Amino acid sequence: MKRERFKSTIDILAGGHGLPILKLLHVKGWSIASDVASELEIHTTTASKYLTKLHEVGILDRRTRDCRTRKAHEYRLRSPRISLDIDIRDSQDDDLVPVCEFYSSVLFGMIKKTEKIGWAIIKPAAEESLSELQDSAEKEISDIVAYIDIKGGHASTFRKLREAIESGELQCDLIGLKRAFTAVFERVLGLCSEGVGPTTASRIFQLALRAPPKEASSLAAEYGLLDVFPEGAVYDRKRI
Amino acid sequence: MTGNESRVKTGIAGLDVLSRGGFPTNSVNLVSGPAGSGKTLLATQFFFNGARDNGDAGLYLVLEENRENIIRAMRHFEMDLDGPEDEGRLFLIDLGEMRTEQDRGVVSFREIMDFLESFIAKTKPKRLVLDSLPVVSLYYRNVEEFREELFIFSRYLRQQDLTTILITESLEDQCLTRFGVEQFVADSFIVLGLEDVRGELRRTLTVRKMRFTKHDTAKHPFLITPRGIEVMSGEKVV
Repeated sequence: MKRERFKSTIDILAGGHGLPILKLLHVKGWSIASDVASELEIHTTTASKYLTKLHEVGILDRRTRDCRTRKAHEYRLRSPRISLDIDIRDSQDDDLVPVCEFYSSVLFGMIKKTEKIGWAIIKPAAEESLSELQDSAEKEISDIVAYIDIKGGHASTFRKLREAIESGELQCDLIGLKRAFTAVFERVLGLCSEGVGPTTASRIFQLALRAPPKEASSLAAEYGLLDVFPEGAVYDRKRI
Repeated sequence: MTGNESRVKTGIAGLDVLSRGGFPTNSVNLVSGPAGSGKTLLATQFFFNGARDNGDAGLYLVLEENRENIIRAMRHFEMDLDGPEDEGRLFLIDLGEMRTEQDRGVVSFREIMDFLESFIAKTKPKRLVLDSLPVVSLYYRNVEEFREELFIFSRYLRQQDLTTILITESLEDQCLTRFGVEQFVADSFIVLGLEDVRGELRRTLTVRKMRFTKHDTAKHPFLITPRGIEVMSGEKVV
């Protein structure tokens, strides 16, 4: 986690309403600011400010809901466990490219393996699903998903991500990448599970984890990149 | 036993005559034979002919051979999968691709059921082939455990709206099936043979068991022609 984001996260959690809001969302699930405000007896503007910030630092998920008169944001807790880690080195930016290589090679390793066993529609299905994700996700995620080229495969995707990061066209950090690929893997693993069953999908995933080069895999351990994978998808984390 | 039992034709010349019209619908059928006896060919014809002649969606699960080899062999007998696969009518799934060096066996029956649960809901196959049981058996510690799980698996298959062929193997001049238990859980049992007749191999087919229907029980010769298996239902091997 970049130091700036770490600081923002600590600040918002340390604020008087941070943890009570998280506890409330853990129990209630998707909620809008006015619901939170009324439950905690705080002003709606205050609740809204906290929810926005907690979402920005990646602790809450957000979606849009049509209310009677306007659209409103709904929030939910992404995970009941929140872990924070900070890298005290000056920057992790140099590692973004190998991180992209790791995720891209696992993603396409999985698609390739699924096709190889004979479930050929995974590719068009993944393409459609990621296109929907790009349209619906928040900007930080959709900016990254835009570079995933399902037809072109790993080589094309990795090249596009690398060039975009190196040229500064894509502004993201490690947390952003993890969030984007969490969304991507949730969708692709979901598609795969629907088609070939969760056990087969998990096995395919496990095999795909062997695709990345060693250097990228060691980063996976260092930065906890495997955390993006849905629970149960990875049988054997020790291999990484 | 009834003559009105609904049937799933194999489309294999002569075989549907011996079984009085094909396999009973939603039955589990075992095909056994030694290496080279034509088990996979019989199963691929059942799989392919269903889509070609009846529009039945089919699923062929390969555990031992690889997908490319099966496709190649099918092409040799005028069965081209390209069209039916693109149309989503036939699915040739190579679960052997998931084999890793750590695996004791490729997959268990439970994993296959997990796979089928999703796959059937998505593609609605009417015909299923599992090629082959001895590969699944590698997953189990002993024959008893294998038999128990095979029994659960067969029961699961009968609850689905599909007709199944399970392939097993026999060692030449030994038991009719690899483990001697497979035939007890299946509704029908077809044995393919290779017999040495004056230095030449003669292929034979016998329907040893078929529940829910009358069937021919004699041993019949069969030929492998450019169109696949042709059972000579009018001739018997004495």
